[in-house]
Amino acid sequence: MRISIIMIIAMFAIFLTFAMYGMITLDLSIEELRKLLGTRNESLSFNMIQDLDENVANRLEDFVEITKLDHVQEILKKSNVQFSQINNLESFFAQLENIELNDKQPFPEIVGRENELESTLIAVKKFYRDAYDSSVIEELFITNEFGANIALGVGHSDYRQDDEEWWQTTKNSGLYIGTLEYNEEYQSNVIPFGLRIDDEEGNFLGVMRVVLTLDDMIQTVIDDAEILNNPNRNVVLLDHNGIVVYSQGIQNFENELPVSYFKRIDLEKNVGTIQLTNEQNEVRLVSYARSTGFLTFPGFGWTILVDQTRDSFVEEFVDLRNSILVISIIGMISSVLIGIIVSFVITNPLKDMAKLVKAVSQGDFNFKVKPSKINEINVIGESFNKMSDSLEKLIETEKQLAEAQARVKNERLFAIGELSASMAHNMKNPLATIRSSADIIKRTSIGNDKEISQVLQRMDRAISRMAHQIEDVLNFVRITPMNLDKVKIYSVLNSAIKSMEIPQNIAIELEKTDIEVKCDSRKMESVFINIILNAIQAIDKNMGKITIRVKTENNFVVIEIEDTGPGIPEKIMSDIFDPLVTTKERGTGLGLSSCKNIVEQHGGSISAKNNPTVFSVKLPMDKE
Amino acid sequence: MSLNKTILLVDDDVDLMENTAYMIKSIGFDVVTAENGADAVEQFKEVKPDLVLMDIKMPKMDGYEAFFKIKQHDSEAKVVLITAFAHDPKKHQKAESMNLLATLNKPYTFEQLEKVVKEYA
Repeated sequence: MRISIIMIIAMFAIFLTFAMYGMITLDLSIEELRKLLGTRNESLSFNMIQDLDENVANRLEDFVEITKLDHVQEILKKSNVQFSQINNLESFFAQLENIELNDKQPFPEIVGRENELESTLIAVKKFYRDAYDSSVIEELFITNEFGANIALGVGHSDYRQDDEEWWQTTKNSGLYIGTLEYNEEYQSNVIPFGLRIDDEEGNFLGVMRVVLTLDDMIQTVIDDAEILNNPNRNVVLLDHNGIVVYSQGIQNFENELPVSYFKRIDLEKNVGTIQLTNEQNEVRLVSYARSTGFLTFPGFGWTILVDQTRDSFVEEFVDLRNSILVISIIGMISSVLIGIIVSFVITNPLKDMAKLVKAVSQGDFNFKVKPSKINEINVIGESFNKMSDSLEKLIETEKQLAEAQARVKNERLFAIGELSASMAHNMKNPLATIRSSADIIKRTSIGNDKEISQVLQRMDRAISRMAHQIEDVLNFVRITPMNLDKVKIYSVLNSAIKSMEIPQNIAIELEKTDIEVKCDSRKMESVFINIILNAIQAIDKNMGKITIRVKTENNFVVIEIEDTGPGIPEKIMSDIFDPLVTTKERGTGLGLSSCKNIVEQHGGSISAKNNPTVFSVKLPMDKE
Repeated sequence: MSLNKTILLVDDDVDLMENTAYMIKSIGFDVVTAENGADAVEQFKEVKPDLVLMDIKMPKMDGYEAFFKIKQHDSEAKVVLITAFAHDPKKHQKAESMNLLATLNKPYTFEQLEKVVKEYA
């Protein structure tokens, strides 16, 4: 497998793992944060309603203090004594049934009216008006223990109050808290309170009624809500019936129906979270906190909701998720790019090196590894190039050495050849003289003598053998210039075979090929004739076969001539190509030596082996 | 003047030349001899032989040179070269193109010599 592919796969896997791990971790975190979201919103709403409760409680406390004032209690005690002396209280009240007390009109001079107490209440009203720059108190009056309104500071009221439910509740439980609601008359959110007035011993003296506007406090809640609001989060204020008082920046009092999920808000639980799903399958978390009061103040039943789409905050993580994805994708793309670069920078040079080694093994030293930008690769590449150069030089040197040796040998042989040729030639003249002399004698009277005639015949045979030997030597040493031509090796072999008389007992097999070689065809023909003749003589009178094969090997043409003869005696195997080595009785031992000369003159080589007997002639191929 | 045909025999080997001359005379030809190429050319001009038998390897001027000179002088001249070995194929080829009749290889027999002389003289 290619290194670049392994790298791509490995890096791909790393980035994929990174992406998956990132996604899973993110999803788990989001899930965890979803759970936290409800809790966070619960505490937001709780804090807001608590602030409201605390403010209301504090304000109520001020009025409790008024009920404890000595002169308020004194006036009430006096009034109670006065009223206790009235015989028929029912008819007394009946006379005053239709009287409505009003702070805008002069208080009628009626029984039980306490001007001093009234002044105190008006002072209180004045204090708040000055402090808050608006009317905070919408109603403020005090009744005695019989329910008669003895002092009215603010607003208007019936004279008789003991028939009112709130009055009875206050008398019995000490504190009445009415419903906080919008009052058309006062044009504000008001809440009525009833405070029982006791003396130090705890005896019932009367009741104080105060109706407070909570607009300023509600405004504080709304201000807080507007800070908290965002497109996905909405703070909602509900009254005790679940009707929306404030939502999304609008104070709305026209809705008469409670919010649909009001029933689901667990009224037993003061703080909690419910989950809603709308038509768009959007999940909303509604966290709520109800008014539960502060210290002695038990609260007034309103609720603050924090309504938030559950997945809205997930959007805050979309960027993070996207960046994980982008990083992963960039990583994967870059891993592919790196793979390609690695392939280019490492794999290709390695391929180059493999090519160089292959080229060198085939004797081609021209191939070079291309320079690389990576140092390490470059070092290896250059080592390969140097190796190739060194090998080339080494081979070149060896070749030159071999050539030099061959030249020295050739020069020596040439000198010997010259000498032998001259000797052979010089021997021919005396031999010719001897022959002619013998011929002359033959034609004289002595030559007709029978015995002399036989002597002359022996002399003739000796002369013939000598002449033949001289001819052989001359053929061996004669070094004539090469007549090079590009020829088909097949035609050279074929003409060699045709020039011979092949005995009937021997078959010759020659494959037809188109391989061409540049050589002196006449000389090469004589080489093949020599080898084939040797084969024929080796097979002798047995049945036999001579197989001739032609093939190419690297830059050489190889001609193999195989025969089925008994082979070359091992004793002379190593020097059969040396001159004067022969197994034939009448051989000169110059045949194979001549062959070797001719083949070497062509820049080739000749070799022989046994089992089967094969003579191989290797000729360099024409490079053009 | 004899009516016999005249052969110019050229060879630097005097023994062989005399033997050969004897053989030619014995079959009825007149023989004029020379021992080198230059001498042969002079003799040719003087004697105008019917056939020249000339050795190739000789001092002063070899057989080929003498052959070319003779042919230059008389393109109709009939020449047979005697050779121990055809060691200069180029000159030999040139000589053949200039109508060299034949070559006689040493050592030649009486029969070979007789055949050549009778055929060309």
